[in-house]
Amino acid sequence: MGKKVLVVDDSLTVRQQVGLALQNAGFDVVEAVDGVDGEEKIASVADLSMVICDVNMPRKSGIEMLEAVKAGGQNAKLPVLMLTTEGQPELIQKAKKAGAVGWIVKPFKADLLIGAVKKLTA
Amino acid sequence: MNTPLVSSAAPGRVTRQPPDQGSLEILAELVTPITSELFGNNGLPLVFDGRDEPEESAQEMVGIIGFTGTEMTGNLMISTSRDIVERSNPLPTEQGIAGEVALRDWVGELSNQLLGRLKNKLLRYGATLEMSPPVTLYGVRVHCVIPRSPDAKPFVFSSSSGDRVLIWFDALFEPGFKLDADAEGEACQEEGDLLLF
Repeated sequence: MGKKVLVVDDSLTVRQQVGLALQNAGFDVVEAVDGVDGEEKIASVADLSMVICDVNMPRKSGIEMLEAVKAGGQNAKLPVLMLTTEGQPELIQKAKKAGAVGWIVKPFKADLLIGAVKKLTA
Repeated sequence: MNTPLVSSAAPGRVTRQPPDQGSLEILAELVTPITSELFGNNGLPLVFDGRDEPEESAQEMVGIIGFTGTEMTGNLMISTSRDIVERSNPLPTEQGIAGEVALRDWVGELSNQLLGRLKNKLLRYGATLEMSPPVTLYGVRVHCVIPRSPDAKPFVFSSSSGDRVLIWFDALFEPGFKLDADAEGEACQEEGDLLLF
């Protein structure tokens, strides 16, 4: 069984696209549809190795979810990589300050994403 | 001269107004290559045919995404055929309902990525946008009508099969605001960039 990665995005296509790239690289994938679902999955799914998370989502944004996860508790050290259309430096800094480990601007390059995931879950 | 829109709820108060000609030209210079690049990156080269409402513009799938900001509000729409959406989809289309759901999601994601790219470019011109989640319409003959801005003619692209992609960018600007080609706005990360902190 491979390392488990949670993919949080309100787009079905993006979740499947990222999931397929991860599965092809030997990772197991769990999906969440927004920040609320993401936070619940982080709390309930055992043995997550990292999270890949969109920023702009309904109900709770990726950065709000990140802040909640990093606020304390057993999952505060879980690596969270943001995957988003956003490229604004101010937002990137906000995510970095909130504890994100990295930032990818969509569309992602599969080899770069997998390389980053392997490094972050090593 | 742009005619400001006067709010009937607050007579005498000037509300947001259509973009000036200079800003429209900047928007046109941004939307065209961004659209070509987005669809090209997804394996579907498009040719830009110009800006006008085609005689026959009824499409099958529409992705709509709204935006707000201090300087402007509005929405962006992608209107096209089911075939274009399927051919640009990075994933194979499943049969049945699952496939249809996936295509509707993809046209919404296309509008999200298109506006995202535009948003990043507009930072350099002094404009900041916040995006809403996309909405998808799916029908037999979906006509898009832009009631607000008289200059909001769609950008028309065509594929090798002759199918059209219509992009509407409908914005209203804060009075006095113009996209500034000389603004020293922020430079954004480019699409595909990976930053590890």
